[in-house]
Amino acid sequence: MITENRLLKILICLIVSSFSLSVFCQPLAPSPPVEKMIKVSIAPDHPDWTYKTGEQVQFRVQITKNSEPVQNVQIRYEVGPEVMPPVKKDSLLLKDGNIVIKGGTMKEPGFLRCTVTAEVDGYRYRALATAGFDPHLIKPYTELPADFNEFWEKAKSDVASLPLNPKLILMPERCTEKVNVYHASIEYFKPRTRLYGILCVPKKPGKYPALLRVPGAGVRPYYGVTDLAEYGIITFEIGIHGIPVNMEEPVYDLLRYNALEGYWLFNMDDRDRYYYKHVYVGCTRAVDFIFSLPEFDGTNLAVCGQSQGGGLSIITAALDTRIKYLAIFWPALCDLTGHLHNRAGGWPPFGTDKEKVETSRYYDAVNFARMLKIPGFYSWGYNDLSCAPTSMFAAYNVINAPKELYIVQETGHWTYPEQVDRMRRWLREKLLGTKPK
Amino acid sequence: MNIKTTLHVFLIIPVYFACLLSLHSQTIPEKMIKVAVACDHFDWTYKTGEPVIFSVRITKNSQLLQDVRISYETGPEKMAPTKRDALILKDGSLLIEGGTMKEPGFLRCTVVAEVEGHKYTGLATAGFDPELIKPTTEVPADFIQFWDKVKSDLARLPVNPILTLLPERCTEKVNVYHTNIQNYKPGSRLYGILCVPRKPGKYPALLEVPGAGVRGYAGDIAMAEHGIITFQIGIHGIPVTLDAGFYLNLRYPALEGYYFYNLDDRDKYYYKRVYMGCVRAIDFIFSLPEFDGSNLAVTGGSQGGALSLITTGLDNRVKYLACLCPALCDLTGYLHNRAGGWPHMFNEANRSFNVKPAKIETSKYYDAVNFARLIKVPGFYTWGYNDVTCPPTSMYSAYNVINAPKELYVVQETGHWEYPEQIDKINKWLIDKLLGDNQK
Repeated sequence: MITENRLLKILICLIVSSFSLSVFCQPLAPSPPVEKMIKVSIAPDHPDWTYKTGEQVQFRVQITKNSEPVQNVQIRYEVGPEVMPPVKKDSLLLKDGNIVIKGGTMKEPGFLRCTVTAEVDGYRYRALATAGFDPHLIKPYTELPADFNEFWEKAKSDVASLPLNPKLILMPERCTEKVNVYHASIEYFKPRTRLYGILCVPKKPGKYPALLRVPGAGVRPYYGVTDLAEYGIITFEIGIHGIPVNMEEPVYDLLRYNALEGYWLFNMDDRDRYYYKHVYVGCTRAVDFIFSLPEFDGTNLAVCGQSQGGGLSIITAALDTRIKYLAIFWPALCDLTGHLHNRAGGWPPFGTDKEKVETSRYYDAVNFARMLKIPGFYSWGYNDLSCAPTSMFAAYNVINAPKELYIVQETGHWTYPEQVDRMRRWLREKLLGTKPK
Repeated sequence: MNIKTTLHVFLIIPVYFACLLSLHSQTIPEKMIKVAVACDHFDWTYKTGEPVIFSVRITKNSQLLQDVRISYETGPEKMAPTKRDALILKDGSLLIEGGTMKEPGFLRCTVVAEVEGHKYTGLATAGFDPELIKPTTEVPADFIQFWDKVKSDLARLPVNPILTLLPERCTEKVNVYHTNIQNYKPGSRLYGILCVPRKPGKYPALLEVPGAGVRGYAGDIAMAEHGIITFQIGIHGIPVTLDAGFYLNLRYPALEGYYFYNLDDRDKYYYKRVYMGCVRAIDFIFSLPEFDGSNLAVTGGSQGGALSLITTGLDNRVKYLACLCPALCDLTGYLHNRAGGWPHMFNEANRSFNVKPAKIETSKYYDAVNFARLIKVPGFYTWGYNDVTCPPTSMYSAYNVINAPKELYVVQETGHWEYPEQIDKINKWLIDKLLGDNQK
C-alpha cells in the first residue's frame, strides 16, 4: 500500500530530480508509460491543445476504472505556467469522478499546465495536460554572443591538426548477415582522448549514406542503430564521455551516479573548460570520421538524437555544414536562460551565476538553431517535464529552413512507436532517396 | 624460494610499491648527463636571512663536461624567478648566489643544460626555517559542524559490503577480495582491494588511500603476508579491477581535472564523496571479524598523503598515519604570493577560473591543513625539498600545525618520488606500530 506509493514517489523523484535524460538502448526512443489501473484523463477543450493568447482553456478531467467513472475520488490539482509556481490549486472530492477545471489563459505565448493527482485505495495516480498558447510565437531569451562564431571556429581548428587515428574492432557476435558492427574509436579532442561509438556498415560492397546518432544525457553503453543499417545506411552511434561503449552496464551506472554525476554542469563557469566543449567538438569529429570511411558516399549524411541528443543534433548540424538532414525528439539544451525570466527554460537548469549564464550562451542550442539551413524532422509533446516545450519551441521558431514538426500533445519525455516509425521513414526517404511504403 | 614467493617478490611487491606511490613514481631513472645542484648547507636548511650558494656540476661518465650551455633560474618555489641567466660553462661547474629569504619558505635553483640537442634539468631547493612556516588558509567557523553533519548523514546508511574473492590473486597466506561498500548516498559505492590473512585470528589493519588519477589497484598483499589486513581503495566509485585502458579513457577527458569539479559548492565538490568514502572504508574495516577492533593505520602518497591527513583528522579510530608528499595542503598559498598545495587551484594558470569567493571558501573545508590541526595520533611523514608537484612550503604548512607525536624523514633532493629506503622506513614504522609491542 503505502510502500508502493513511496516507491513510486522515490522513483519519480530520482528520475525528475536527477534530470537525467536517458535512452534505453534499442529502439530509438523510450517507450510510452504503462497503462494504469486507475486512469486519470485530462483533456483541454481544443482538440489540438493549442490556443491563442487571451483565449480561455478548460481542462476536462475524468477518472475511470474498467472504463467506468470512479465514485467519490479525492483529487488535488494545480494549474499554472509550466515549471512555474501554480496560479491555482485545490483539493476536493469528486462524487462522479469528473470535473471541469477552468485554466484561465496566458497573455504571452507559452504553456499552461494542469496536473491532477487522484488518490484511490491509498495509491496515488498522477496525470497532466498542457495547453499551448501561440507556441509558434515563442521567442527565445538567450542572446547570441558577438564572438560566438569565432569561438566555435577556433574550437574546431584547435583539433583540426589532430589525426583521427581511427581504430575499428569488429564485434562478430553483433554482426548480422547484411551488416558489420564495430566498436570504433577516434582521437578527438586532445592527444590521449578517444571518442567511442558503435559503427554499423552494410557488408555488401558499395557506397552508402550515413547517419550519426548522438546520445541522450547519462552514461551508458551503446548497441548501434542496426535496423537502419540493414536498409543500407552506415550508422555511427557515439558516446560522449570518451570511454568505451561496449562494457558491462553496471560500470556506467556507477559513473553516472558518482564520478560523472551532474557532468552537464562541470566547469560551466568557464566556456573553455566546460564539460560540453569536448562533447560538441567530439560530435564534429565523428562527422570527420564518417567522411573518412571508404563505404560512405561522401554526401548524404544525417544526424539524429533525442533529449540531449536532440540538442546535440541541432548543434552538430550547425557546426558542420556537411550534414544534410537532422531528425530529433524533444531537444534539450534549448533556451537555457528562460528561468531567469520567470519562464520555463531548457535542460539543464543551472541557477543564476553570471559566469554560467555567459557560458550558456555559447552552448545553447537556440544559438546554433539560428544557423540551420537544412531540412529537419522534429517531434515532441506538450507534457514534457524534462525538456520544457516552451524551450523547444523557442529553438524551433528561430530555425529558418524546411522543417516538419510532428506534435503528439500528450507525450512527455517519451514517444509512441508511431513517432519513431515516422522518423525512421523520414530518414530513409532522405538518405536513400526512396519513399518507404 | 618457490614460484609463488618469487612471483610475489618480483611482481607483487613492486606492484604494491607502484600502487602505494600511485601518481608519483618510485625513484627516477639515472640520466646520461647528470646535472647535480647542491646547497652549501649539508641539510639544505637555513635560517631566514642566511644566504645560500648553489653549486652546479654537470657530468657525463663522472667527468665534468666542457663548454656546456646552461640556463638557470632562482627564486621562491612556484613564484616568478628573481634571478635568471644563460651562459656556457667552460668546465661544467658553477656557483650561483641564491640570496636569502626574509620569511620562512623555500628557495629553488633550477638548471637546464643543453647537450647535443637534449635538455637535462637539475634542481636544488633551500629550506628557510621550514618548521616555522605557517599556513595561509583559515579554518571556517563551522568546519567541525559541516563535517560532523556529513559524517552523521553517512552513518545512517548501512555499510552493505559485497566481497568477491579473486582466486588468481590469493596466496597461501592471504585472501584477496574485490570489495565494494555503500558510500554516502544510494547508488554510490566505494571499491577497493581487501587482503586478509587466511589464518584464523585477529589482525591490525591498514587503509591505503590513493594518489590522484584514475586507475585500478592490485591490493597490498605484501603487508597482508606480514599479518596486517589491508584495504586499498579507489576514489571514483567504480570497480578497481577493470582493464587499464578503460581508466586511461576515463581520465582523459571525462575526469581530467576532477579535482576542480563543483569547487564552487562545498556540498557538491567532487572530494566530498571521496572524504566520506575514506570514513566509510574505516566503518567497513571495523566490521570485519578478522580485525582486532583497534589497531588501524592509514597511509598514502600525494593525494593519498592528503587523504591520510584528512582521514585521521576526520576519524579518531585511526591510530597511526604514514604520509608521503601530501597534496591538498594550504591551497590558498597562491593568494598570498606563496606556493600553494596541489592541485594549485589558485595559481596563475588557474587564476581566472578559480579565484572566486565561492571556490576559495570551499577550499577551506577541504584543505588538508585544517584536518591536520585535528590530528592527535602518531604519524610518520616523508618528503623532499625538490617536490614541484606538492610544494614543501605547503607540506610544512600542514606538518607544522600537527600537535601530536610526529616523525619527519626528509630526503632533500627527492621530488615527487621516493627512494626505496624511504618506503622501507615507512613499512618498518607501520609494521612496528601495528604488530609491535606497543599495541594496545
